[in-house]
Amino acid sequence: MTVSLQDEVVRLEGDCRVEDAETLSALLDGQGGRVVDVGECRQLHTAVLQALLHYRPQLIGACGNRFLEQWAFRDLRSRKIEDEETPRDWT
Amino acid sequence: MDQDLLDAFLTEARDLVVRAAGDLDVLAARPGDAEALEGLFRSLHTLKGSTALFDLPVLTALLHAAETRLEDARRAGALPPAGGGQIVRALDQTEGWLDALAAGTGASDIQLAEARDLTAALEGDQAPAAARREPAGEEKTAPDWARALGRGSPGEVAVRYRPGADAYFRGEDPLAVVQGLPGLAVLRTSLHPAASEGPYDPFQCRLAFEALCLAPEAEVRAALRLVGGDAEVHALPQVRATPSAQARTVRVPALGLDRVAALVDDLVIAKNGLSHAIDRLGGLAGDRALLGELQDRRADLERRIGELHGAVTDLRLVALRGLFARLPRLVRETAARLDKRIELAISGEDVALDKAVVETLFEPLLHLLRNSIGHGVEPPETRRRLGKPEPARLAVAASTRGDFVCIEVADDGAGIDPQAIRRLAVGRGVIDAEAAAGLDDAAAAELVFARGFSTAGQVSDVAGRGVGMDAVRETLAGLGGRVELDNRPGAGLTVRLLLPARTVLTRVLVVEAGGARFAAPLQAIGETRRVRAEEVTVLRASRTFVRRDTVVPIQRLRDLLDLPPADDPPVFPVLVLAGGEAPVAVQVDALGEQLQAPLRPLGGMLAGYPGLLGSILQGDGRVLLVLDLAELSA
Repeated sequence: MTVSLQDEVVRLEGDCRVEDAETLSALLDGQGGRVVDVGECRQLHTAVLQALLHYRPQLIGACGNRFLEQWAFRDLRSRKIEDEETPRDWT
Repeated sequence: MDQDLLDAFLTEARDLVVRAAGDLDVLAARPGDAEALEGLFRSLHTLKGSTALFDLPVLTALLHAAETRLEDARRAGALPPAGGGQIVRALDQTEGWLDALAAGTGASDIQLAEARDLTAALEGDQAPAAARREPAGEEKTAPDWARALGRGSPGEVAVRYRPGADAYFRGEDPLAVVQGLPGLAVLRTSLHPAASEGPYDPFQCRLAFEALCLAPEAEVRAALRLVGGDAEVHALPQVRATPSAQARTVRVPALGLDRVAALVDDLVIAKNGLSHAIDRLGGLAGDRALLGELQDRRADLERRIGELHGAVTDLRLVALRGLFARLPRLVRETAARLDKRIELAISGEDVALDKAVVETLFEPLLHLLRNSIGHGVEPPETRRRLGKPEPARLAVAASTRGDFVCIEVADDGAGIDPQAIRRLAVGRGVIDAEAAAGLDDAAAAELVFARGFSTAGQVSDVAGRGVGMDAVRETLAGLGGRVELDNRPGAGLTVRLLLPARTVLTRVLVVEAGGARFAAPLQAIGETRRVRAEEVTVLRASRTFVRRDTVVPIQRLRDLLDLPPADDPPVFPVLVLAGGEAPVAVQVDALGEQLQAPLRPLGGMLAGYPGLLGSILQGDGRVLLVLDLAELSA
C-alpha cells in the first residue's frame, strides 16, 4: 500500500504512482483536518502532488527525496509553519 | 523649462549615451551579443522616453527610429555593421543635442536637419512594418514572465512548462520532467482552477511549472525534448554588468559634495582652534584630571576628523568612464575632418581620480588625441605605402601604478622625427643650433613641450595651434603630475600622463604683501580680522593688539619675508594663526580669494627654503608660493 489511512493520518509510502492520486483525493476530500505523513515517501507522480496542492493538508514527516522536499513540498510546509506559529490552533 | 528636471535629464541622458556606446563597442566586435543588444535597446528606449518629456520631437523621432532599427536587430539576433554605424551617428547626434541643451541654446538648424536625415535613413533601412510585427510577442528575446524569474546572474535559462490537461492520461509525469531539469535554481508550481465545476478530478492535469535553470540552454532543451510544445525555453540576458559599486550608489550634486568637503576643512580649522585653547589651559595651574580628559577627547576628535577627511576625499573620487566616454565622438569627428581612419581603443575606465582632476584632464586628452590624429597618423595613402594597416590604431588606457595613475595615449603613426624637431626648434628660436645638436633623440623629442612649439608643417584647425603640448605639460604640472614621451620614430608615439592617485588638494587663502601674492594654507589660519591702527599697542618693541582679553603680537608678513618696508595703513587685515603656544597675528596688505589646488614640493633653488611649504599653480598658470606661517612667525 503506497497510500493508506491510519488513525486519521494519511500515509504516503515508497513510490506513489498516478493511480494513487485517486485514493489520496478520496481520503482528503471533505476531511479538512487530516494530516499527510510523507516520511516514507520516496517519489510521487505529478497527479499525487496536484492532489496535495489542491487539498493542502498539513504534512508531517521528512521525506527522504531532496527534490520533493526542496521544491514540491516547500509551499505546503510553509503553511504548516504558519499554523504552528499561531498558538490558538493548539488550544 | 524646469532647470532641476533638465539637469537630471542631462545627467541621466549622458549616462545612457555612455552605456549605449559601450554596448555598441561590444556589438562592433560581436554583432550577435544578445546582452549588448538588449542593453543598447533599453538605453535607447529610456533615452527616447526622457526626450519626450522635454518636447524635443525631432530627437524623439530619431531615437524612435533607432530603437525600431534595434528591435529588428534583436529579432534577427544580430546588429549588422551598417545599422551599427547609423546607431553610432544617432548617439553622436544625441550627444550634440545634449550639449546644446546644456548650453541653453537648443538644437541648431544643422542639428535639426541632420537628425531628420538620419531618422529617414534609419527608417528607410527597416523591414516593412508587417514583417516586423511577426512573429508574435512570444518570440521576443525574453517575455515578461521569463524576465520575472531571472535574478540577473549569467547563464540563466527560464522555462515555462504547461502540460496539457490530458497529460496524466497520456502517461506523462511532468514532475519527473521538471526533476530532470539541469541546474534547477527556482521552481514555481501553480495550480489552475478546474476546467469545470464538480468534484475534484484527480486525473485532469492542472499544474504548470515555471523554472529557472543555471545551465546551458541546449541542456535545458534536451531535458524537455519529450514534452514538445508544452514547454517554452528562453535564455535570459544577463542584467547589465554595471560595476557592482554603481548598483549601490546615489547621485549627489557636485556642488553639495564640494560643500561637504569645504565644511570638513572648516571642521579641521575649528578643531585646531580648540586644540590651541586646550594647550593654553595646560599652561595654567588647574584641574589636571579635567585637562587630561580634554586632551583625550581632543585626540579622539582629531582621529575622527582625520577619518572624515579621508572619507570625503574618497567620495570625490570618480571613475574616468565619463571622461573617456566623450572621446570616441571627438576622435570620429576629428578623423572625419582630416580624412583619416582611426580605430580607437579605450581601457581602464574604472580607474578613479579626484573629481576636480578628472574635469581638468579633458583638455589635455583632447590635445593629445588631436595631435595624434593630426600629426601622428599618416594620411591613408602613406600608410598603405608603408605597409601599415590603413585604419590607424589609437589607444587610450588608464591604469594605476603604485601611487600614480597613468593615462596613456598611444598611436601607431609616424612618431616624432627628432631631426625635424631640432630643425624646427632652432628655426623658431626655441633653442640654438649648438644646443640642439647636443641633444639626444629622446631629449630632442621633448622639445615639443617648449612653449609655442608646433610641429605641423601646416597649421590646421584641428591641431597645431601652438598651444598643444606645452599646455598639456602645464596642466599636468598643475595637478602635481607629469608627462612622459615614448617616441618610436616611424612606428608611433606614446604619451603618458602621470598623476598622483590621491591628489591632495590644499585649500589656501591668497594674501598680498609688499606687492606680491602668496598663499596661506587655510588649515594654519585660526581666523582673519581687520585691526585698526589705534588698537595697536607697542609692548617691549613688539606691536600687539588685544583679542578676547589676550594680548596678541602682530608681525608684518612683509618683514618676515624681508620685503621692502612701507607705512602701515589705518586699518589692515591680519591672519590669527591656529595652533602654536600663544596666538600670533600676521599682518598682510590685503586678503585675496580662496583656492584649492595640489601642494607641490619646491624644487631647485627654493627646495628646503625656510618658511615655504611648497607651491601651487593658479588657474592662469602662475605659481604661488605657499607660506609656512608657523615657521615664519616663530
